Amino acid sequence: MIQLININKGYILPNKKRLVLFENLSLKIENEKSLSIQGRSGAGKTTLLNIIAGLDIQYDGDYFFDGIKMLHKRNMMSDFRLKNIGIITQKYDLLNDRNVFNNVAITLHCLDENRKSVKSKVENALETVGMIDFKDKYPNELSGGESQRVAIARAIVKKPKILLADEPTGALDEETEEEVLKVFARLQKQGNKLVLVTHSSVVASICEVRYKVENKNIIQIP
Amino acid sequence: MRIAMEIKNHLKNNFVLVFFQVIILSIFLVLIYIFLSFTSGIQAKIHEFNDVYKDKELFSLADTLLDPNEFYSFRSSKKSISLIGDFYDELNQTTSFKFLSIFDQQVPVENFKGDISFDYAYGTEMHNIGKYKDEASGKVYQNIKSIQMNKNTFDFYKLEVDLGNTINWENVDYQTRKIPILLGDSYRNIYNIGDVINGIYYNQLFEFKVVGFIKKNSFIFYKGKSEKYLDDYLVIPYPLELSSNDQEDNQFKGILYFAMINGDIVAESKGNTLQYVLEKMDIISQKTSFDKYTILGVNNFVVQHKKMLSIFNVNKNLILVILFLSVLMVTLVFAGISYFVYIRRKMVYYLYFLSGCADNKIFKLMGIDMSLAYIISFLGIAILTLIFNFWIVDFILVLLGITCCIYLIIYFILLNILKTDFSIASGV
Repeated sequence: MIQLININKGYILPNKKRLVLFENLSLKIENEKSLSIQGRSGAGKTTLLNIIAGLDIQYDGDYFFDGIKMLHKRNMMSDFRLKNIGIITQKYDLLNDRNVFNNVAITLHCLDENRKSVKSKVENALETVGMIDFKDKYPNELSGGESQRVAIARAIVKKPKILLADEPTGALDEETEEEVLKVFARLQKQGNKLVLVTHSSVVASICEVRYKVENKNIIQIP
Repeated sequence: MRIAMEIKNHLKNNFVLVFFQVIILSIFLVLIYIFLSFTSGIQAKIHEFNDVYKDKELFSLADTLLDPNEFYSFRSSKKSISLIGDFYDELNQTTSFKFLSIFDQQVPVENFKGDISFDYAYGTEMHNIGKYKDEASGKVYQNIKSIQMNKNTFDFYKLEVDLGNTINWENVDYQTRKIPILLGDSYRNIYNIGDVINGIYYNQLFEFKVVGFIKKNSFIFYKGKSEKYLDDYLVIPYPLELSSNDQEDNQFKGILYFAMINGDIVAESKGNTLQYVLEKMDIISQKTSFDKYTILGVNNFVVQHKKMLSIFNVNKNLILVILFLSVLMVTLVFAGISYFVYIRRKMVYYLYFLSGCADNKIFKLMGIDMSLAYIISFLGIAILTLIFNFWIVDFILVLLGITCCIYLIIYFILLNILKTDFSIASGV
């Protein structure tokens, strides 16, 4: 499904020196139901996730999705992301000016879905993450775990081919983390493909395949 | 993308900022209007002034019978009145210069249909204002603003009738006590063509028949004022000739003729124009044996023109500076507030971006967020325009242009910020 070939990425530091993040990095995601990407801070896990999501197009190398080469163009990547990718960020990023229902629906507004369809899909997504009873509540009324579950609902509402999560439990305590991981487990069973970036081995353990970003490349962990 | 919902959320969260932007912009737009009105108004006046008065000089003619007894005895004499009549006719018909006979005698009108603004005393410190009952006749009158003028005046100031007919000067016969008149533009919804207005004109009952309405904002030069607008005046024509009115009432003639010989003389600029006018007047005076007059030798046109130019030039630079500083200040403040609004709304744009929304849809939302205050201010002013009908279409177009320019500057700045900010997912 996803193939990254010879990805090279670097940054120019404030002192004008070039920092190389990836050197000829290649990754293939095909039949795995879930995949974790681990590594120390600054190794490039989030950057790799951004590349997969099409958020970052400033790199050299090839990106294939379902056999189609992805061009380094914003509009193409936006369209690709809209149809195929669901993203869960670490900080939930819920909008306080609207309730849970409208927070989840924001994704569907990009697809210009009609009201009936939006209602049906949002309620399904909220039921999946166990937050249907909270649909009229506002983000400031939710706990961390509840907020993260709403963020997950927002990512899955459009039924993407692949879910990308960047440190999904990074801001949560152990008990809440377990709740969220149960949701991820449920999603896997329902056939959703997951790519989780995490530095937590507990989170990584729920994934079928584990990778580690190290020395400007990515290796599979047994 | 649900634009209406996003606008509602934007207003809900940023109401104070948007309100502040609307206030700033509205004040700014009013300043623009004042500037445009002032400059275009003054420039238009200067052009009109030049059109009418170019290469011409104006002098005032007045009688010298200042002593009331002397005046009374003069106008009581049939022979003296006849001299005045001849004098006027010579003035009116001479080709050496143009004699503009103008007078603003008020006319008591019976059962006047208009409001107080047409009253002769309106806007002055005179106390006799409004309707009153004439004890002798029992009728209700109101003293109404009126301008009397000869054909030379009408033609010189290029007065135009845009509804009805102009005066047929041949038909102006005071002996019948029925004369055609024109009404100023403000009378349009009060009287109609063909209406007869009964009034008292120099103590005589007259029937004034409305034959037409003068074009809006028509004006004449009168008593040193370069713009005496005729919109709320009755315009009563003088007869073409006076000397043939032998059957006319003496007292009436006396008052009327003296009014008619007071006016302005307009002559082509010749170098020593005043001397030329004095010479011509001397000839007329000798011919008609009337010498109770004087010419005021100041060129009133030049005085007025200079005043206008002075007002314009002194204030133009000041206004330009104020305008420039206002535009700068408004743009900076607006850009600052817009950027602040953008920071507060950034998460919304980011989430749409994250979800895969196309850039142009996000830009559209940003554009609407940034321009909401403009739209509200503009609509507010447009509504005021329709209600009070005192703004001009051109002004609206200029405003649209200016606001679009400011908005575009801010929008493109933010566009670049968006492209930079949202190139990577982190950093919100």
